Amino acid sequence: MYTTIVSGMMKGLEALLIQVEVDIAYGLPIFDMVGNMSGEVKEAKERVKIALKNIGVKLPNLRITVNLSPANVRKEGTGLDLAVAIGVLIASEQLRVGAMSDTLFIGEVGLNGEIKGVKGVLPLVKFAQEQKLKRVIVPAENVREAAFVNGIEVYGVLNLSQVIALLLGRSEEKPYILETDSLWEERGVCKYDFKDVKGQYMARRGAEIAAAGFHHLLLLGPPGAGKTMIAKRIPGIMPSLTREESMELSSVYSVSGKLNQKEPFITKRPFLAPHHTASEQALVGGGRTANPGMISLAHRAVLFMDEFPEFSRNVIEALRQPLEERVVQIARSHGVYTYPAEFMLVAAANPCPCGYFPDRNRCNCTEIEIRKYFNKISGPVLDRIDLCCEMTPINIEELQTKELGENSETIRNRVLKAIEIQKKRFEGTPYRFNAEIPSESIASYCELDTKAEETLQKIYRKLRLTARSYYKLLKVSRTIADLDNSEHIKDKHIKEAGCYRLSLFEGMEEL
Amino acid sequence: MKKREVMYAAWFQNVEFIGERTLYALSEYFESFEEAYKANGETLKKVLSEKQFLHYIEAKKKISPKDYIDIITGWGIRYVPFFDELFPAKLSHIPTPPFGIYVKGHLPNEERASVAMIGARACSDYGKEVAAYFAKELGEFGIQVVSGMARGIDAISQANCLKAGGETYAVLGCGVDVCYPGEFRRLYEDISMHGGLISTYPPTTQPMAGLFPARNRIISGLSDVVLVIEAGVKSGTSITVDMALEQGKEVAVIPGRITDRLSHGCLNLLKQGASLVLNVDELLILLQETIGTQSHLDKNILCKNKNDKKRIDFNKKVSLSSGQKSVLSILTKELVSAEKLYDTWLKEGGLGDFSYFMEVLMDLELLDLSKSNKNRFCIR
Repeated sequence: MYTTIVSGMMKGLEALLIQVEVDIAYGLPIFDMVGNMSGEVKEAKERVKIALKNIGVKLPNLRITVNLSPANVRKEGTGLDLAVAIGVLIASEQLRVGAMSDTLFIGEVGLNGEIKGVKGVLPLVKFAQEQKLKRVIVPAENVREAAFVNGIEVYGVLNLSQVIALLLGRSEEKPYILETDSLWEERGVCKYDFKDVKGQYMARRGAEIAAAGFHHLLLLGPPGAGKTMIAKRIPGIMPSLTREESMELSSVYSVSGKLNQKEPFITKRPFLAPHHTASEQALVGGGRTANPGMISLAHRAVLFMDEFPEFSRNVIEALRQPLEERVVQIARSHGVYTYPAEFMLVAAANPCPCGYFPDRNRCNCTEIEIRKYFNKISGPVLDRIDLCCEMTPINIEELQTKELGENSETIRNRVLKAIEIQKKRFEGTPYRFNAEIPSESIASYCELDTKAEETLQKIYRKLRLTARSYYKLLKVSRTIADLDNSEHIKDKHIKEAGCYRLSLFEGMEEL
Repeated sequence: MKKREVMYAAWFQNVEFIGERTLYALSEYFESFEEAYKANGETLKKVLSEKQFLHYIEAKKKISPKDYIDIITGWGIRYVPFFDELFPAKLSHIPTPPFGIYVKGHLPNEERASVAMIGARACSDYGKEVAAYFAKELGEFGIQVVSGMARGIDAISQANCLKAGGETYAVLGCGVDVCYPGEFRRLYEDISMHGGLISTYPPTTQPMAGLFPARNRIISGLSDVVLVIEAGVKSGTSITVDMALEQGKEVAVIPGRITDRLSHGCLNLLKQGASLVLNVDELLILLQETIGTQSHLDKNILCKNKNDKKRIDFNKKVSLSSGQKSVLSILTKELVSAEKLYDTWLKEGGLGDFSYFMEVLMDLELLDLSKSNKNRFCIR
């Protein structure tokens, strides 16, 4: 007899439904699987055979052929096991149930018939729902993430027997309903609050502007000035994740196998801080199956790169494309994988190799050494960073003060207003934030009043800006004006923006 | 005759392991260097050690004196041994005068005053500013600036002297055809055009740490006054100062703050009785006094009229808002980060948030009342 079961797999972030076709016919008793399979998919045969034996099913002495269709796509992962097992049961007429074409089966089968969790369940279930499937049977381990998708019945199963009972209608099991409210409530809460930051006015303000316009930020300061502390608090002043954003982000986490029972979907903007020894693959994604990297896990959130110049040069270079296009494409011989990478880069660096420049009592670095240190960051990457904040070491009075700084919530409220303004401005365009405005459209989005124009000219000449830094200055002033709820960019906004420019190489070797 | 002597002396100085002491010994033992060159081994060995002799033989095989002098002349380098009439008189008077010097460009004009400007490589912003100021003024007065073209104070002084149209001389710790540090190629070329590069080491000598202290005596030797700008306690600068004192040169020092490591060298010198100069006029007076005792110098050089020079008026009349005034009042001559300034401003009773403060800082910069570098601000 012949039967078809629906299963699916992820190819990067792209979901794909796989038809598991099983045919049982006369011939030599052989269990054969075909359909462009990778190693772990081929092994499904053994896992299924033994699992069925162990739950007391006797396979008929007939020729069993399993085809995974479409046969031209390479099959990967262990999620197809369950569909194969069920297909064999139905085709051998040991499980008599009606058509299964509206049910998606995902899960790895253990030798004892247990169903184990797999990666990428959430985006797969979402795709199934879009394809109008009615029911999905997933490992119990993944049931909570699968249930984040509305409009489809989700069943979590622990073992094969449970699946059989469910299909025969002998089980009392109800579709799993995920209580999202309590999880959503937590989403605004950030463990780190800006109220604990003493002093550091420039970095605070810089973080606020960065969060409001989604600008990349560079923090410069000696060791212990609080660069990491500031960066950690940035997710807390960004707006809470919307459901769509959470879905996007959770899908990436699901594909990387980073979702669990406790956190079935991402509720808070993540904060990722890779160590400076991170490899290119770890950061932008890679490996044989092209797994998402840190930049995709920091999608719509903060990627904090401490000791930025210490990252190896090729790692920093690899950031260029994602910074430009907000997605990362990883090419493999069997296809190109695309992951979202709309992250806010917060880079931190010491002002010189020893860390204490310009304190000449402690720093002995020459200008050349300092320049060499920053030369590790390539120009094109620096060009993408709009804001630069210099931090100074905190003095004892500031540390001991009982006074709390402004808290994250107050800052976030201002940021939210600015984002609201941007939303209106960019309606009907692909952009969402000021940082994304391409230079050719800057003139239309960044309107200056006459006085501001004069000031801009003055600043341009005085500070010897380049065309690139001119555009950056305008974008940052646009965000500052938005924070100030001002339609036009005013003179004072331009002036303030001028103070956050990247002046790393200005005045170097001034002979 | 003289020319031939120079040629042979140049050849001898280029022989490896024959140092200045041996060269002087050779010049005393033999009538001429030509004679030394042509002398037989037995006679030469009376002056040269076994090792030196072997290298002499080796060098003799490699290149002839004629070819050697032609090559370095082709490179635009002139060799001036101590017996040449071009040899600076100032250098003959110092203890252990150099045997010969190589020059690219020309030698300092002995008729005119010269000041050595020396200081730390890793200098502070203050040091940079002061060096630039003195060098410019000296350049405008036509006073020759002698230094070592090292990073920091040296290079800033020389570059600014050139900018002001002055002449400057760099004494190198390597061959004069070697530009060290490499990034000063431009400065190197400029100095060879408007002044000169001087070294006691034969061309193609690569820079080595051991070679530098010895050139310091030439820097001080070529100058009338040694001006110390920023120096640590144990530094190359302090070596130069020791040399200068040994040579009986006047040492002028620019003071720094007692808390700065880079001021300690300067302050110690002041304690030991070096002259303190606060501006270029004081330096000029000191120079005049020093030169007054040396009759061969042209004194008129110092009598230029200074009044026609354009100066920045610090009390320029600009109407400032009270906010701008209060911010301006906390700015100092030193570059301070915006962060620290804001803190000070709040303590001094400033009212306003950080973004207002930044705005005012930019205002002041646009009004030419302050300047900034890498997000740090100071008054102009």
